[in-house]
Amino acid sequence: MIYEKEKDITLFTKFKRNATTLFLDPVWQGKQEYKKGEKFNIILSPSLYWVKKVQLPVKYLREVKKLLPSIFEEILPDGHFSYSAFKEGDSYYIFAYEDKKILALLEAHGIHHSNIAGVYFAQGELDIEEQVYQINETQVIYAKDDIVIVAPKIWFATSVPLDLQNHKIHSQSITLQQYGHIVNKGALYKISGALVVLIAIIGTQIMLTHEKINYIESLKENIFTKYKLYPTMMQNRAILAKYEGIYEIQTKLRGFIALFLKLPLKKSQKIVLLEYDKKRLHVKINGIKKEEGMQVFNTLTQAHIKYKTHYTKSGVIVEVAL
Amino acid sequence: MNQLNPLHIGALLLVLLAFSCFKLQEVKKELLEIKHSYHESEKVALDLNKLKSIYANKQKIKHTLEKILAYNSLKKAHLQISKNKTTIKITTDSIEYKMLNFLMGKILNAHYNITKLKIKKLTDTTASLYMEIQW
Repeated sequence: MIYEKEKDITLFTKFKRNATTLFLDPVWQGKQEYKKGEKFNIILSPSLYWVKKVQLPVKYLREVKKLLPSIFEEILPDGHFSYSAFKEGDSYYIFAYEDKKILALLEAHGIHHSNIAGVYFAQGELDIEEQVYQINETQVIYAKDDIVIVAPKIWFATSVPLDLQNHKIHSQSITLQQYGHIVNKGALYKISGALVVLIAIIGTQIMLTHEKINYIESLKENIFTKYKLYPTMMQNRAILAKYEGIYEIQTKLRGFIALFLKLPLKKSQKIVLLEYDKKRLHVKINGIKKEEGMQVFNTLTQAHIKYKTHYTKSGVIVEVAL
Repeated sequence: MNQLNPLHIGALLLVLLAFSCFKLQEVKKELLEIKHSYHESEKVALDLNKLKSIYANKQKIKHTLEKILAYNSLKKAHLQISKNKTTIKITTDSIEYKMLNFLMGKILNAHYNITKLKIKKLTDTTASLYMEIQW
């Protein structure tokens, strides 16, 4: 890594930050020293990417990008590659590079990815025409057939050191995929998209369910208003239980009276008293002897009514609890 | 150039998905509870309304009782009627069986809350009556 110089990058004239331009060369073994928060523009050595100048029958760059993996398929070694392209005249410069390898090299030189302002290819960023630039003790870069390539220094009689002191960045930066090797970008988008859609569907369900809850609550409030119910269901249940109790007792009272009036009494046997108080019904029947009782009250037994009898001289008093 | 680890994004989305599933289960449970509570309130309201209209509607009880007691067949029964805030008492020292049958038929076939009742045979054709109806 050689030749550095701070330069100003002005964004909308308002935000200003300093970035040092560095040439990233795999041969250089040192560590880059820098201040905390300092940013770097990284120009990649041709050793770090594959480049081709091609002419393709497509109009837009996005169409070219789709073709890149298949164009490089046969020349690239095994690995996880990212692709990039830019147009110059009628030709396209197409690139393939290994994010992981570049990031590892930067890490090895002590540059953390948070300190990187932008990453650029030497091709396109460096305007090399007739000149041969020395990039380390043994290598140079020069342009051959419009392609910037690395060559041994000894091939050339003369070369000048690459000076980036006054270099102004002018090409488009590429984004290094830190995690591209972990997950396939396309698959990640698809899975993330599916998860987001699923979350959105569930979110909508939650919203709709909340609306239903609010609607039913308003219906419930209407019931309370319409039927003048007490504020709590506990009170209402207690009152309902009270009225249901009254209904049950009154139904039983009427049923028991009807049963007593239908008892198979002889002419000499008469009901002389019918008294109901404190949920107890007393019926006094004159003219019934104890031995006749069972037969007379058989109707009550069949109806599973529990009763008590108290025989007197004149007859019997029957007691039924309601 | 700092980028988020896609595994972190995936984990975050999965956590969000799990949370939204949990939340959905909760609101669905809440919906079931509120539905159950609504149906219960509706049933209680209807039953209470029906029973209150039978046993707690003073105007209706008064009106129907007055209608029964106004029958010609009961005019000679000399029934004594007394009312207070909670009860109506119908008493007579002596009533003929025919009239008693008519009166009891009408009262027992209607939904009055009879709290006390005493019918005592006096002769072969008459009886005494004491009855309290709560309203």
